[in-house]
Amino acid sequence: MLIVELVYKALARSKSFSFIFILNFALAIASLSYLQFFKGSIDSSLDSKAKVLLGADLVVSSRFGITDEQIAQIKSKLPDIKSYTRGVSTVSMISSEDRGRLMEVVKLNKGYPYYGGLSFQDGNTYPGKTPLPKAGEAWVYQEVLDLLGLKRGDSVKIGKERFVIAKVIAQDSLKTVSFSGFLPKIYITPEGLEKTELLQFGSTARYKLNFKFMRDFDNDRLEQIENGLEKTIDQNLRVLSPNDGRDRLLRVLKFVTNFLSLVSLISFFLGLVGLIYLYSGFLRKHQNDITVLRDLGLSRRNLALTYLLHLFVLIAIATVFIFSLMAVSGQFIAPVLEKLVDFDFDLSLDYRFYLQSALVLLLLSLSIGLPLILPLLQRQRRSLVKTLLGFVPFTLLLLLLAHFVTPAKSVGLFFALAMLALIAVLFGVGSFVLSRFDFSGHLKNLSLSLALKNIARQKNTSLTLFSAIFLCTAFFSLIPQTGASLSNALTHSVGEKPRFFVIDAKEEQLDNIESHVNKMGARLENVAPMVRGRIVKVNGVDFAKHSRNNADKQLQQEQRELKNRAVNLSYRTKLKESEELIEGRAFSGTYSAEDFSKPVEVSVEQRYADRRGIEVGDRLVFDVLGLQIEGIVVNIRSVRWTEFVPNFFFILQDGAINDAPKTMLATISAGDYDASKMVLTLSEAFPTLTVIDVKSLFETFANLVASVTKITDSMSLYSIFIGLVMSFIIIQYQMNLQKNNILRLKMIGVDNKTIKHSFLLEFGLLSLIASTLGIIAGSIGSYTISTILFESYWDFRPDLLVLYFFFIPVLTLLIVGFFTSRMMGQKENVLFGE
Amino acid sequence: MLKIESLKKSYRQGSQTIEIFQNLDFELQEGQQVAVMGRSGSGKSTLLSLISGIIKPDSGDIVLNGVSYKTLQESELNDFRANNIGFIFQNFHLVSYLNALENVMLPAKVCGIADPKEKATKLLESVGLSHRLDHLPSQLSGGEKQRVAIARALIHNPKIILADEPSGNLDDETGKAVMDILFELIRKNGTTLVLVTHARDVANRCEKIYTLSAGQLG
Repeated sequence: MLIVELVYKALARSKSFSFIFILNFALAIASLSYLQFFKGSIDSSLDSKAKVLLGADLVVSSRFGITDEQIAQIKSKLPDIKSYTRGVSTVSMISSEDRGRLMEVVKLNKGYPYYGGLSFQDGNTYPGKTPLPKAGEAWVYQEVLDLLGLKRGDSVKIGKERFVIAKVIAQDSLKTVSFSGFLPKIYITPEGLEKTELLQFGSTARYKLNFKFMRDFDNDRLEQIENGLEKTIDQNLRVLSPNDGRDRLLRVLKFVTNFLSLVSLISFFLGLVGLIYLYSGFLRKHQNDITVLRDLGLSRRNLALTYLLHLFVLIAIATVFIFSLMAVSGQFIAPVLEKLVDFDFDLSLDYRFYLQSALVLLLLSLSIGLPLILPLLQRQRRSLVKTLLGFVPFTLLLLLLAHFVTPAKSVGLFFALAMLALIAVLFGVGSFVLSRFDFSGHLKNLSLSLALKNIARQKNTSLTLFSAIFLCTAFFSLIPQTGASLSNALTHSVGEKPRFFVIDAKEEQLDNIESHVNKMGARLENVAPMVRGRIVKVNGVDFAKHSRNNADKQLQQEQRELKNRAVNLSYRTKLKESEELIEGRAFSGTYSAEDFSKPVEVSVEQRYADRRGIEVGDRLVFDVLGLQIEGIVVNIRSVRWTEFVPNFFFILQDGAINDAPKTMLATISAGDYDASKMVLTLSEAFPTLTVIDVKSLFETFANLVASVTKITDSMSLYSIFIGLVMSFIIIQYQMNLQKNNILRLKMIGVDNKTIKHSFLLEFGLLSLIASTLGIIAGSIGSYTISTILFESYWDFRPDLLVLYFFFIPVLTLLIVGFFTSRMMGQKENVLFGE
Repeated sequence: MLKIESLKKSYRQGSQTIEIFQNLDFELQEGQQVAVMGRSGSGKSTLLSLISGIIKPDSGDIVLNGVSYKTLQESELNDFRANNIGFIFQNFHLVSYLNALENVMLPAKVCGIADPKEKATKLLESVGLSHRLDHLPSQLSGGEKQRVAIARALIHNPKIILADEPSGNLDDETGKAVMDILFELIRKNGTTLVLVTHARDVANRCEKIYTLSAGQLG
């Protein structure tokens, strides 16, 4: 009871400390808790809705038509089937009278989807009471109407046929497993699809077999069936189970959540450092109380328990506050997130989340509290090594947390380790520099002399503040510059990008297409042949196996896709402007051996080669419509994909596969012509041609990036705020440590101005050097990331850096000035009669 | 040399007013060493604070070396204190991030005395710390810290030294050794000393012992 009473009194009689501590901890955990809460809600919703997302128990899909033999083989390897359907989806130009857009056309089968389905704006659902549309009818997304300027009852032209829009879809459970990923969908009947004549040789389409089993298997069992089937059927076929639909959406979310997790980890770490300082200051202030209580007979154990409980209560209050806020605000934030992730998840306050959080908090209290409290109870000064060793459990806990909060497993751990390594390097180098230059010389300027001596002699405190400001500024510089580089990579030279992509063109149509394009004042450019093929072997080893041995192990999904080994091949003689030879040599000329007795020279895109472990000199075997062609890699080239010029992972020497069945890719230059008219003209003249509006595609992507950037910017600002709060706490702590020194200096006769200047110089110098180095480190980091990820497009933000350069030191000076002035007000006679 | 005239000082504690001094008169000759004894709470520390000019009396005046505190502005009083008074504390109060030499040099630098390093080194040698010049306070023993504090108090040749329980935190043997050094240097320099102590043997080293009681020195 005495412990509880002491804790209660410590809380009640240090109200301002309790308030600041709770606020600081609440800020530290807020972003991480919110993120985990929403991530958990999305994860559990995805688990429960996995079958709805796929629409079936199992789906087999292929880029080529699935033959009856293949179907029979598949069926023979599956459990009892209740029902199955054959689905097809393709992309095509869809037009109204005056507009045209690329959209996804999906064949509707009776009874499918088996789980989930469509709900319409008129309130009806499918499957359910709504029958399939008639042959000349289509069901469309609202976006289709918006893009084409239509309303329900109007007609659209799909391929060679016109369709009446019979229903407008409000929600589609299969949205996330769409073929195109981002295009609005139009559903038509099998008969309707046939009349469009969209499906011809070389057309881009996805063929699917959707299965529903007699027994109601759970998702994990279905995944086992999927894995079993995949091993035994044609490599061109891809098998999907409900977990794949879930994983696909999770992958989309991963990019954002990984980044946000890291940013929230930063604010969490920064907040915890502030918290350690705060509590350390509190204990220091109450050191006499601890001594007295100990002298009065309170056991060490009880004293330790008292302060641990005090710490736990403070942490618990902050946590309850944040969790309550989450519960209340979650329902308002959820719709915004649902829009962003394009998935309606159920906001669930999972009890496991609270249990895990409680456990983490308890461990945090122990791992922070014990190394701070025990040395005080033992009444002995601990060496730096012992103090650091005391924080090992806390560090391990942080590493574990970092590991579990980021979706991509090792990312968080790596990030936390990198942070710790950076701090260790800063402390190591800093200690060395300060011990080499201990400023024991006697400068004429007393303020500067005192400031430099204070920096050098109070190494640990100077380095802590230096590291904190350095890390904050480095992150502040890195995050916005990286975000800006991402946007910049997309917006860079928009004017130079082509306006349209033309795909699925036939070789014989090219002249005709070109004359149409020229007539409208544009140019047909970057014409490239595309031959569908499969990669069979690398250096005599089965390609899938070779890739597994050499590729990034994390890309599980990609590994599965490897199974069908389908690749698009092209051929030409020279490099394009958007390419650069990284390794090897250029093609030797046109391929001449008619009987393929000599290997064909192959150029491989750099990143693809890296991922798959392909090197110059490797022997590859391609299968082009049954004909096996042996190639030799003569060079690895880099491609600037952001220039939006058609390109391929594999380019073969001109003359080797020129006679293979192919489709043509090309671009149409940007210009002052009427873009809508261009699309309409081309889709009218060439119904099977696919024309992609790069500008609108880019705009869609840019909008997505803008919303992601908005979130990341907000999170960055949040971590900046936490960093500043933490710096404020550390400065206050350091200044409190200097309280007696200030009084001593005053007593000796050092005037207030000199003392104040010495502290301003001390903290100002630390802040200026740390923020300058932080800005440089952050900029180098963002440059490296931009160069690697965005291919040399790096958005240097001098405005932001200049702001940080002045803002952080000035803010430091303001804080130091404030605290010094407060301390100056104290009379030095307190030094008498202690 | 030091003259305290009709000094009044009181404090407010809640609604109560505590009278510390009522018409205190006191005089001290140059080079005189006096001890002030008294019970806890008798006002010894307040007396030192008043003599050092850190706190102001309610009425009355303090005149040190012919200068009336009443005539000085706060900044002038600070300068006057820096030049004329040296302090020795029970808890040493060395500046934690300055080494022994720098701590001793500091008052000399503040007062603009030439060759502060040379003087500080000599003083530290005279207190037996020539081998501890580069040591930080945290690396010194209690006795060593107090010897540094004595050197620091003397470097700028103050007119008067105010010593507050200088041996209070030291064991008997060390305390005695430190007091030997203090008195030796003070006598050598002819410095006036006001020493507040509870220890009779320390007080006995002074020329005169005053007891502070009921706001009067007797």
